[in-house]
Amino acid sequence: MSGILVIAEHRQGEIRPATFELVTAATGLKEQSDGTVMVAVIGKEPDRYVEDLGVRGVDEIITVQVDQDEFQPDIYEACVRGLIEDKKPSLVLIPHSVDAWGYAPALGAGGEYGFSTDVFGIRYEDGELVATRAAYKEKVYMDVDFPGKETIALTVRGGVFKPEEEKAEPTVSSFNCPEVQARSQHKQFIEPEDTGDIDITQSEFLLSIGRGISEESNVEQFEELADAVGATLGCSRPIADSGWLPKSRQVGQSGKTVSNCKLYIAMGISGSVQHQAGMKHVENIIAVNTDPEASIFSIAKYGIVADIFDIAEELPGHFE
Amino acid sequence: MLPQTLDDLVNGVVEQSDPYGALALHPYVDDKIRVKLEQQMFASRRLKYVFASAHYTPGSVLDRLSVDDDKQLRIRILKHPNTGSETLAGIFSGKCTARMRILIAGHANTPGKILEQINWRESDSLRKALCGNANTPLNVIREILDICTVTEKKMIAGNPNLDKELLQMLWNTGDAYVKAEVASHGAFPEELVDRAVASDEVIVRQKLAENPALSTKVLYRLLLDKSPKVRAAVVRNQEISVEQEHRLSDDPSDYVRRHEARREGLAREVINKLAEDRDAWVRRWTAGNPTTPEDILQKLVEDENLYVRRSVSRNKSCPVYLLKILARDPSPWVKAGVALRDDLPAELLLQLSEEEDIDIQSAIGRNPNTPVHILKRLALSDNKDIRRSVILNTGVTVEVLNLLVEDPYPLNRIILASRQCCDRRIRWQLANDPDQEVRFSAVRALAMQMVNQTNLECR
Repeated sequence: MSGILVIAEHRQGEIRPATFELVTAATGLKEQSDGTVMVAVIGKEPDRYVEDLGVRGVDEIITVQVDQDEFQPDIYEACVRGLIEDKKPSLVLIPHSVDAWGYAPALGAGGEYGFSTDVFGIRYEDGELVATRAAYKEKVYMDVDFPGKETIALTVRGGVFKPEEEKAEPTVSSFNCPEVQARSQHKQFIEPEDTGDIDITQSEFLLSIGRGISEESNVEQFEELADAVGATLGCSRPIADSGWLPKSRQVGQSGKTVSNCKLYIAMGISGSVQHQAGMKHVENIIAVNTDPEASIFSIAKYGIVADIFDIAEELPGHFE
Repeated sequence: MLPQTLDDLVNGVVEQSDPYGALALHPYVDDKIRVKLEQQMFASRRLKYVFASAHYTPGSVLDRLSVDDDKQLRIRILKHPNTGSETLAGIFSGKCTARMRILIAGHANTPGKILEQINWRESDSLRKALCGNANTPLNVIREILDICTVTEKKMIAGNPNLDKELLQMLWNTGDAYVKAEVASHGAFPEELVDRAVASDEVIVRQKLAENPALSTKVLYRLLLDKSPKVRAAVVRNQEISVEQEHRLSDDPSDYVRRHEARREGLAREVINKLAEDRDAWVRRWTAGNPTTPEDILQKLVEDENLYVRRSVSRNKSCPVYLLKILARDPSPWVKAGVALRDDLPAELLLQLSEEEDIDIQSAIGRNPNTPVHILKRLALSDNKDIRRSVILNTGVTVEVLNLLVEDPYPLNRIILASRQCCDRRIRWQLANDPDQEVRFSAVRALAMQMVNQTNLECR
């Protein structure tokens, strides 16, 4: 068993950036895995993706032609299992995405491979692969090893590795998908409804307000603040439920995940599990709350135990 | 079987062996029954840890858990905001580690007589915790003050119980931020006012201007301050003369005019000027000001900025004929503002209920005057936010709530269980819900209902 197999992910005719992140991860492990880096692309016309997938670090692109271009879990599971049996890689890297959730666990369990999900660190220790992932709602990180496993399949968290962009010309081969009965069928992509309001998922800087603002009449003060510091205004559920800000501004499980956000200022938000679901991944979280035990502080990089109105007063001066 | 009394409810919960139901009942029953419930609640160490941290755990349960020897469990209890003063005192008098003493020193429910017994010399963290606790007795603060860091002094300065002597000491030894905190204190010594007005630090003058105990004479002096922040703080603070109002409405700083526009009871000419301000925020604040006259609101209804129009829609003094105009606004956010109003005439409510925008539908769902047939339709919406708006409606009927007992979104069921107009039958159904927090909320609401013996029937 040698080499690394990366499973490419594509959507509506375009290779997803996570694929190129996995190429970077695989390239870094190439020497220790004692083999080549192969990228497999599964689709109706997989050749159309070959040019895009030709980046530095990739030794071989494997095209797998199937009946439909859109993701289907049974087809992917069968194809990847077939590829593992044929190419015998020691490591299989899959983007940790909604697609992977649909087939990777079944692949890992069915093939009796070493398997771990949402991995954000991969290294070799004394020739054995060790993957790092989080547990207990990101409260602890743990190293996972896979004793006695010849093939290890990992789903890898997005945004951890820099995507490889430099072009190269790897060899191209094809692989026949084993016969499989798909139990579901893709019907259509539905674009999220355009609400006409700002799309908070695209914002890199969010200032979010919660119950701490107390009254509807205080909302405008924070809208003004967000405007002054160049942030997009978001909110927690109770604010949107009260009709004080549009639903499109709501962050959290019943709202939106702020996927592009790099700086998140949470003002007067206690940090319920539901709210955290939409923002805990943000690298720079600054929480302002009068309650030092508020859950939001457990995920914040910087915490300010203070009155949000005092901070709101001070903040614009620091963004001039 | 539907429980009719608290005893029935206790029996039902015990029969179900549900630790979350037992947790909810615990504060409402006597010691004998508590022992029975605790067998369910504390059946495993895991459950004890979960309950010691869960935000909804009642103080009575935390008190029972506090006798456990497990240090980690006690630390969780000490971090919990529901932990009562007697429990804190109990842990303090028992086997208490340094970490536990720090948590006790910082807990908002720790009584002064316990804080007085804590040896603040033990560690810097302990001293810091005492500085931030409003219950720390003044004699302890006096002892600490000499060796306090600047940060700790600022924490102390925020204590509303400080006397003039301590404030004077803080002023004399603190930096600009400590002085600013002192200047905003309700007991700020009069003899320091002149020094605060003449301070080189804007933050000190600004905080002084925010002090509600300040005399009009001093505020007028601050109104001439060169910093817009200080002038704006004066505007927020106190009534000023018509002449001053006019000056402020011409203030070169947008920031000052924005604050001016929030003031209620401004002279008509001033409001008129603010309503035509070039800065949209000034117009927004004017549009939302409940004392803005009708004819000026009429002008603002035509404003090009949708947020100005939205502010008119939320202005509690906005007359119906203007709401009719706003109900036809091209922006859904403006229409949603109209739909939220409790005083909306029935025909406008019906007109807006036909709109498909989620914010408008949610506002209709929350409006207590929305007719039952519309609420029923919204209760069956595919959108969980719209369904939740119906649950949150203060005028909703049991008949409508019945449609939401099996709402697929657990949070909606949690909220439903605690709604005042939810009846026993719905709550008992929720007490058997697959989600543990729903069960907790339902049993707690049932227990409260039975204890209070209040008739909570809906309209």
